Amino acid sequence: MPRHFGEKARTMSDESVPHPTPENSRRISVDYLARVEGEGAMHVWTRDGVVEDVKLKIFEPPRFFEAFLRQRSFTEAPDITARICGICPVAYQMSACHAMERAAGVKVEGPLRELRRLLYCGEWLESHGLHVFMLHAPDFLGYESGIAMAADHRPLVEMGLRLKKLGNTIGSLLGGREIHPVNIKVGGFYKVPRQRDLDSLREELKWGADASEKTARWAADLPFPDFEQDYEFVSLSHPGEYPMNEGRLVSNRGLDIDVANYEDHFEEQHAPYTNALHSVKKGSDSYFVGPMARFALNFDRLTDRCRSVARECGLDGICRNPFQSIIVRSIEMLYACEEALRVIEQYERPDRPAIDVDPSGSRGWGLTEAPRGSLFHRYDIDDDGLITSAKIVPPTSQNQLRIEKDLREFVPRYLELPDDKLQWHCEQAIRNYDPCISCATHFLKLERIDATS
Amino acid sequence: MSTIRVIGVGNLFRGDDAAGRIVARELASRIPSDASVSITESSGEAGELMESFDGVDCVLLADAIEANAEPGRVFRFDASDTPLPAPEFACSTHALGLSESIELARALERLPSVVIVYGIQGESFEHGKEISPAVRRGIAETMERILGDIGIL
Repeated sequence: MPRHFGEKARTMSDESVPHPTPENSRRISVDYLARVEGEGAMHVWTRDGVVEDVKLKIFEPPRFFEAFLRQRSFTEAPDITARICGICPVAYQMSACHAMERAAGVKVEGPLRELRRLLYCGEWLESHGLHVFMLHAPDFLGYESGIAMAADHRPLVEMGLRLKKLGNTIGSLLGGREIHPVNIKVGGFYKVPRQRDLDSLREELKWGADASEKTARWAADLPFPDFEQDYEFVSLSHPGEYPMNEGRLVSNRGLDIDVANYEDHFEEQHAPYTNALHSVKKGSDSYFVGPMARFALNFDRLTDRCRSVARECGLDGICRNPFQSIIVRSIEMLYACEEALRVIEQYERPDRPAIDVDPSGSRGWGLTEAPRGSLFHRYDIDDDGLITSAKIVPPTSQNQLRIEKDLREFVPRYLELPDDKLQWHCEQAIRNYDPCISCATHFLKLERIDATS
Repeated sequence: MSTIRVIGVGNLFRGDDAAGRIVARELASRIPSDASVSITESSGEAGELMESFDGVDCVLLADAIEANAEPGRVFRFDASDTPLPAPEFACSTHALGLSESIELARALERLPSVVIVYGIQGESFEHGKEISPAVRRGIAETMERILGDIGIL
């Protein structure tokens, strides 16, 4: 048996997916997606060599964060939402802060804005470092897990752990601690670092840039299946920088909107077989958020070094093969190191760690680029500064339909393989998106938000 | 004299998942800090855990587990030479869990020579819940057993 599916005690029962399985049909079920954050299950139905249906299911208990936020002070939103995910707390904090600042009609600028970018660099390094080396690399090298790979590829795994640790170190320095940063607040920080604190990161960041470049070149030589798709990529785009916190939301099919208009263009649908929500673009269908989308839509805003490494890796401005996202993530790690060095180089310690923000009696929207894609928040705040409604759209629920579509395209090519091999390939196709299933699980109450809007 | 590190693993905000960290916290007040025994807490993040393995001969870990047993029951595993049993430690709330961290450290030859893991069966892992009374008793038992280990090791 590949991996440890059978060892997972708490898998979902097959009976929960009512679907006919006649004799000439074949069903592949992966009841536990190894190496994906959180827990999920995938079901593929085929008949006579034709894929009939693909469903991706989420079975972590629903989370009540949106409801939980109601009647809490606006100042609490960053810390409460950060708990949705242990891998990308910074993204939740940033989207929440930006939404509150937008509601208050203020902008965090100058060194505080720069420190937020630095913090985001840390999160990208930490998250991509885990995914590239421990989750994705084993797929291409033929190991069932990062641990199994470690014994044979020790220098590679050590390099990955060191890159990930560099991200953690940045997070601890700015966030106060590694996993759930406590130093972030609406308007800025509780405490800002001194120049010498930041200088301590310099040497390791230079190493990190070289290591990321090496990783991208190594990844470019991996054996990728031929699987280019015609995606609608969606990400932030900012005229002056590779996007993290700010910009307009754009796509390669003409979308170009203020994030305040997000809900005019996208809606979440509740599929009966999962307690995560599927996000769709109104009037079309699935879309793709994450590193490949950012890369495709913002290639010219990467550094010279990132662009030239990308080109040498065969990616000249766009990558349409999701298996090659491992190269794109490596290039984003290189960017994160270079960008962090730039911020440190130009840092001037701000006089105040935060600006005043009062969003009372208003509505605000925030969308920032989590490692795995765009993360949207919207809040309504009453006159006392309490949240009356909250909406959170995580990247994985935006990618979920797209993942299912990839599987529908992908499975027919490998139908001749035995079940365990096909299963493994399907898992890889899902893992390409680095889905954070624990983020994507939140509970929907359909009547709640629209009623007040 | 061998150096020992006690590591309490868990999430302080998820009910009984805090058990391991409370073991570490409460032991800290009972064990005089000296060069041979150190006590630390960990969120369970793999990199952080592996770093806490560095530089000592023996680690004693405590974490909440789901072993389908009565809440508060304490299991002791010796992971010095063999992996932890998978089902009990598989459903970690952490990205790469405790057992993965141990196996990764083993593969990278960064594992101390003695690795003892105490698993305390949890009752509720819900956000914002208090530690359940049964798990409280499991915490007390684990502390006594760790103190016993330290006396022997």
